[in-house]
Amino acid sequence: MKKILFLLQNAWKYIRYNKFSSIVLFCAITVGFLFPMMALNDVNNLLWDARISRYEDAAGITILKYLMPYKEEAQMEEALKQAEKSFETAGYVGMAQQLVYAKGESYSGTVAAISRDYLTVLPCELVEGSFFSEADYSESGERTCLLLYTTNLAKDGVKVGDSIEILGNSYTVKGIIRAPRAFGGVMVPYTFAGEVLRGGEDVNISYHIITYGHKGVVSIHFPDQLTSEREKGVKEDEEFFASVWKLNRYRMLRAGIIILFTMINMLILFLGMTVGERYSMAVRMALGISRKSLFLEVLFRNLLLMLPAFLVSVLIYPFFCVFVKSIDSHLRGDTMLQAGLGGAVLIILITLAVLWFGFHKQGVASMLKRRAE
Amino acid sequence: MIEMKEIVKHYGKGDNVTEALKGISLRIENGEFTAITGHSGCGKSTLLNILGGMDRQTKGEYFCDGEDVSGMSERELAKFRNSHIGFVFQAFHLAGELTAAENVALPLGYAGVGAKERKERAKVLLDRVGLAEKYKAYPAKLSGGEMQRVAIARALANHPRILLADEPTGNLDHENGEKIMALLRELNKEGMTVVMVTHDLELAAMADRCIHMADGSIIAQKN
Repeated sequence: MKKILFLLQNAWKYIRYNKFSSIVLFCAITVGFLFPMMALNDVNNLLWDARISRYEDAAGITILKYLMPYKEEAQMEEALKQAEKSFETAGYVGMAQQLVYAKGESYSGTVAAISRDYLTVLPCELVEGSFFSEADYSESGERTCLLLYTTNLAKDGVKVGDSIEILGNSYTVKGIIRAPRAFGGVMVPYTFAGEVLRGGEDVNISYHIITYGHKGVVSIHFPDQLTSEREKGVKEDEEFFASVWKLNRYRMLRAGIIILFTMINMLILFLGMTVGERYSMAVRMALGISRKSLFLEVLFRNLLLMLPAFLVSVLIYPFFCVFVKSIDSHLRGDTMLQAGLGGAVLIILITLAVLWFGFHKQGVASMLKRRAE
Repeated sequence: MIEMKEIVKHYGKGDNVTEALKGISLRIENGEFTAITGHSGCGKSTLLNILGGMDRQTKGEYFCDGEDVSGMSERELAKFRNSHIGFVFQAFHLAGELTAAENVALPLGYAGVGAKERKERAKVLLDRVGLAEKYKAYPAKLSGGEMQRVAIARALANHPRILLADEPTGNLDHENGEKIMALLRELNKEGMTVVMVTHDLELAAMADRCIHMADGSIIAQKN
């Protein structure tokens, strides 16, 4: 422990002493984390988009199976069975529609009309208030709704008992739940489905997604609304999915290029830093530092820069998102943390590999000699 | 006692091989002050680096107090450097981010010595080299002579038996050079084995023994 503390102190002193390069590196890492986050969000986004199928459950599942590395296919099948069961008993399970409602500021979100057994299929957690009761499904009863915790409405301070307006009708917030975002921002009992749908052909582009532990996704639709769409035939389906695929390939490529670009830049920075550190490391090696301690000291130096940079990038990420969102309205932040951590681990591994394979083979004497030259 | 047998050192590969040391055999007794002289590129620094475990010979055997240094692993070699050897370099090689005391305490930290003891020993050592008042000074604020004295104090931190000095006065003026030599001489009188590389024959004459090298070989020895 004494030694760890000593190495940590040394690492901090080194960073403090090399202020300029440390600040440059810190900023580079911060930005470096942002890009993979954004890029991975884009990938995540396209995965969600690919889940959209206008009708035909089977088609939706085919897409998902192709894109998502399912490990628990049985779970997905089970979710599908449950969803189908709900479909049979409720007539329709749910529906979603884009709408605009207002409370302070206009907000565009998705509302889903859900059946009673729907919440048993969907993995969701009640944050505040309660779920729908039997009375909420009565047409003559008070209009109630559930808010998804992550929606702007819940964050803006709309709480249980408040009323929100959906397409001219007032709905009392019954509860706030935490559930996968794709589920929809606002949920109303299916009894009021007619009110929250715009109706007409728009219904055909509405979709409903049940997520099952983020792993399995099935797409459920409403036979009455989709009949006309089905009649248009398989050809249109193929055209629809082909366009989705084309879009996805482009976005995947774009995300891949961003990640690659960022990682290469980060690698170059770290390599540069490691080369610059040769002298200081060589002196320490001459003094008898062990390989383990040397690695730890360099690791601490990198971590002391990387962890705060990561935290800063996480903190500024939402603002960055707002900016990018003004360009790309599809952006979501589900994979932010995974991306940041993944990037950090990758960079640490690269740095250690550079130290192990490149740096240590040089020999202390030659490194000191080079410095002197 | 240091004992080297037929030490050969090659640099490079294939047709570009340079033979830096050509079968050096050497014996240095404990408590001896040895100077190694020779022109630039004769292999004296290479020899010193091998003596200090900073470089490995291509062929030959090297024993230090009966221990086979040539057969040591990287880890054992690091420990050997930390506990047996003190280095003094021409360019001082102090860590710029650390104060004089912290530089002196650096090898102690790597040896696992606690903070309090490190501080105390650094104070004693800086006092020993006449720099007690520069305890908190950073290298950038020290003169060349002071930096070299800090480097010597650092070299003494783990009570090494052998002190290796590579052109210790090379970057210093005459007055500071003499002070450093006097310090090395004093340490030697206290029983420390000192091996110094220099191209200055006047300084070499102050040693117990002078080894003259040329073209990777020892060509003369004088007591």
